[in-house]
Amino acid sequence: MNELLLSEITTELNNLGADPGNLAEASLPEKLYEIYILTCVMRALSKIGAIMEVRDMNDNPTDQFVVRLGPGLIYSPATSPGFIFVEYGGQEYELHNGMRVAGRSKVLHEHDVSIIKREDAQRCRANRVSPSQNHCKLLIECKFYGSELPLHLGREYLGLMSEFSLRVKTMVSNTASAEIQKLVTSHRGTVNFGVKPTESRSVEMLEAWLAKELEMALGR
Amino acid sequence: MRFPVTDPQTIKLLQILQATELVWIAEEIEESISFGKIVDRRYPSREGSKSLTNEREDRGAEPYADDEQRKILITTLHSYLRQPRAIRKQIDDNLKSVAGEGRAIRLSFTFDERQFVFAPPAFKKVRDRLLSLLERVQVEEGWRSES
Repeated sequence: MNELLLSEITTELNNLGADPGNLAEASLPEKLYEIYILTCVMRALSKIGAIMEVRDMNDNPTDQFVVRLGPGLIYSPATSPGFIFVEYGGQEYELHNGMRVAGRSKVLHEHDVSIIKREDAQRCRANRVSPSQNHCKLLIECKFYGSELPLHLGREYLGLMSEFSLRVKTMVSNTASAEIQKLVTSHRGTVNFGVKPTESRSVEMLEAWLAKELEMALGR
Repeated sequence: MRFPVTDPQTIKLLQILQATELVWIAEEIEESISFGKIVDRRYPSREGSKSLTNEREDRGAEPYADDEQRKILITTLHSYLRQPRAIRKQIDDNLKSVAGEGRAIRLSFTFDERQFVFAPPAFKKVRDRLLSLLERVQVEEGWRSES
C-alpha cells in the first residue's frame, strides 16, 4: 500500500474511532446478522406454504417484530420479546431469536435462531421453564465475522450439536472456514457459509436447503 | 503456536483501532493472523512404510506474509463497514416479501435502535470515505476487480 493511501486511511480510521456509530459494539452487527438469517428462515417457510404471523411478548398478533440484543428466556417479560407464529401442515410452531434452550445435559444454551413446537412453547411460558431439546425443530448458530472464522467456533458448534439431537441444525456465516467445514461435516454436521446479501447464490442455497429440511421436519 | 503481526502497516492501523471502541475488530484481525494459514506439506515416508508412494502428506500452519496480513486487515474492515448496511436493507426486503400484500412487518429492538439502525450522518460520511479508500487498496493490490 502506498504511503499516501496509508496516511488517508489512518486519518479516516482515527475519525471512525472517534465516532464508531453502530460499530461501537461487536454484538450489534452480530445481532443484525441473526435477524437477517431469521428472515431467511421466514422466506424458506413461506416457500413451503407455511402461514406466519408476528406475535408480541404476550402472544398477541402485532405487525411490530421486537428483538432483543442478548439471550433471553421464553417466559421472562423483561427479556422475552416477539416471535413468529408459524402454522404448517396442520401443526403450530414458534420461530424465535436469541432464546435459551436446554440441551441433553439440561444446561441452557442460546439459540440464535430456533423453531419450537407451539404447545411446548406455551407450556414453558405458563410454567416459567425453558424449552428443552425435545421441543426444538430447528437450530441455527449464526456467526458474523470480518475475516475467516477461527477454528474454536467450529469446536463450539460441535459441542452444541452434541447437545441437540434434532434433524435440522446448521452453522451459518457471512464468511467461511475450510477447516471448520471439514471439522463439522466429518461429524455429520452441516454448515452454510458465505451467506450474505451480496452473495445471492449462497442465500438461495441456504433458503432452498431450509425449505427442504423444514418440509421434512415440520411436516410430520 | 501463535504467529505475531509483523507487517508495519498492519501494526500501525491496528494500533489506531486498539485505542478506540473498535478494539474488538483489532482483536479479531490479530486472532486471524496469529493462527496462521493452513498448508498441506508433503514429506518422505518412513523407511519400511507400506505406503504405495514414497511420500506422505500432512497439515501444518505457517505465518501469513506481510501482504497477506494487510489483506486480512483491509478485508475485515471493509466487511464490517459495508455489510451491516446491506444486511439491514435485506432484512426489510425479506420481511416485505413474506408479509403478503397489504401487510407490513416493522422491526424494532429492545435496545437503542437509533444507534443500531440509523447511523449518524457524520459516521456515514467517514464510513463512505473509508470504504472508498479500502476499495482502492483492494484494487491496487489485485484483491478485487474494479467495479
